[in-house]
Amino acid sequence: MTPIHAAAGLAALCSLGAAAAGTIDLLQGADAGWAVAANVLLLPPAALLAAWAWRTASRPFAALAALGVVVCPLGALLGDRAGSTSWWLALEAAWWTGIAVVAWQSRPGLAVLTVMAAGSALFAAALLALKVPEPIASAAGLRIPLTIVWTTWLAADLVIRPTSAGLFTLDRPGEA
Amino acid sequence: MAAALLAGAVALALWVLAASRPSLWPSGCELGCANAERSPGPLRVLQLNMLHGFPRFAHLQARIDLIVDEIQRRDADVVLLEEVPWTIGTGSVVSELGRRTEMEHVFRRANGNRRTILFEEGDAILSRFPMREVTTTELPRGNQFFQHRIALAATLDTPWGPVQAVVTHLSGDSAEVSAAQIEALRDFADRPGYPGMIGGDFNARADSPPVVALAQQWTDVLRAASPPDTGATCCVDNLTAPPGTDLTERIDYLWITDADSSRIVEAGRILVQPRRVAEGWLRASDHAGLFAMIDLRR
Repeated sequence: MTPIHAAAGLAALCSLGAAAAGTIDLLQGADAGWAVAANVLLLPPAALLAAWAWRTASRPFAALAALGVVVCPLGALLGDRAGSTSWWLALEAAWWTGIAVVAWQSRPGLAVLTVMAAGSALFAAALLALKVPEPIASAAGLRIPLTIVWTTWLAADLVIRPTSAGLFTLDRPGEA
Repeated sequence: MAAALLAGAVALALWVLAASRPSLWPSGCELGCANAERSPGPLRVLQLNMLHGFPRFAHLQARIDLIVDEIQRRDADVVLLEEVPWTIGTGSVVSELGRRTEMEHVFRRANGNRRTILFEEGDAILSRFPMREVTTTELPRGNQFFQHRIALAATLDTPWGPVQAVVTHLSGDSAEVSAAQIEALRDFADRPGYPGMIGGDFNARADSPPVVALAQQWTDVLRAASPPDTGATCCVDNLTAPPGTDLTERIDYLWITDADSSRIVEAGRILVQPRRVAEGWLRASDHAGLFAMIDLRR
């Protein structure tokens, strides 16, 4: 196993763990620890995505795609309140927008799903910032199942295609 | 691309299915949150369907203030609450009640989901005494897909020994559903060993067959009190109406399972009339509450 495979495998495992913690959080709700765990576990894959984007994409989009290393710790710090904090949701939407743009050519499936996730986060941020009343505000919650599905997809992508020629590589250009 | 769209559809399905479900397990502060000194006297129990008011949550914060005031004024040892909400505006209401009254508290969501629709409601127990053995059950479903009914129980370590507190909110969709839910509740709450008190909104009148049958096994505290108070407990439409609006039916109850070792000192309805607030009149809920003082002879 190469270091690249090991890093991708570890990130995939963390991503799967984040999906599992997110699912428990979705079903339970009252214990903020699961939301914190989901954000902490998402940090390694977010870091891997940031490293890859920094190497392969143009600076503005690479910077957006690297926001994950800020979004995840902030989400963990906010805990229970992350999903109802409009500025954090907007930041998450910006991160996902960067990932979607960077992945668009090489991983269209991940890119499409990321666009959906970004849209749901932006929509949730707008609903909360504008203090839209219930029951319309309920639509903000669609972001959480999309996050769970996205992290699961990301884990699968990391496992299926962790090659140096693929998306999730730490190789420098020309080394592969 | 098609797989990604399918994954999006899965997320949508997950959102709908998780939009209103009982939580996986109860949560709260069962030990270490009760700091206030208890004043002596018999066990004081308060029961109330506090009305979540989804989706408008009309006067919710002001009504929470009224409920806190009532708990403190009555110096309640045990509070059994239904329709306890979590909203974006208030956060966890059971946590707020527990913090402001300095009581142990436990909650389980019955409906909604704070993560998927930014709202949930459920049953809660607050206690001056330490709690242990918190258990819960999902009762037979009513006729509505998104509506769930649960019961929540905790053993309270009181100065008179362990007492089981149970809270529930039944649906009363039909006589059959009501009978099935009451039967399941009886099986859940009837535990040997020590006395129990059960409070809740049963959504069934006192002359309905399931409640009549239950009254042969458990003691209806307000009916057994001297003098009895079997007045209506539900419901008013206008929470800001001045005094005089009549409640129309009795559907909220407080029961004890072991009448032989207990003496009902006093019991009656509370919060029947609105209170004066800055903007006029306000009721704590569309239901009346119940309050009892019970002497547990051991």
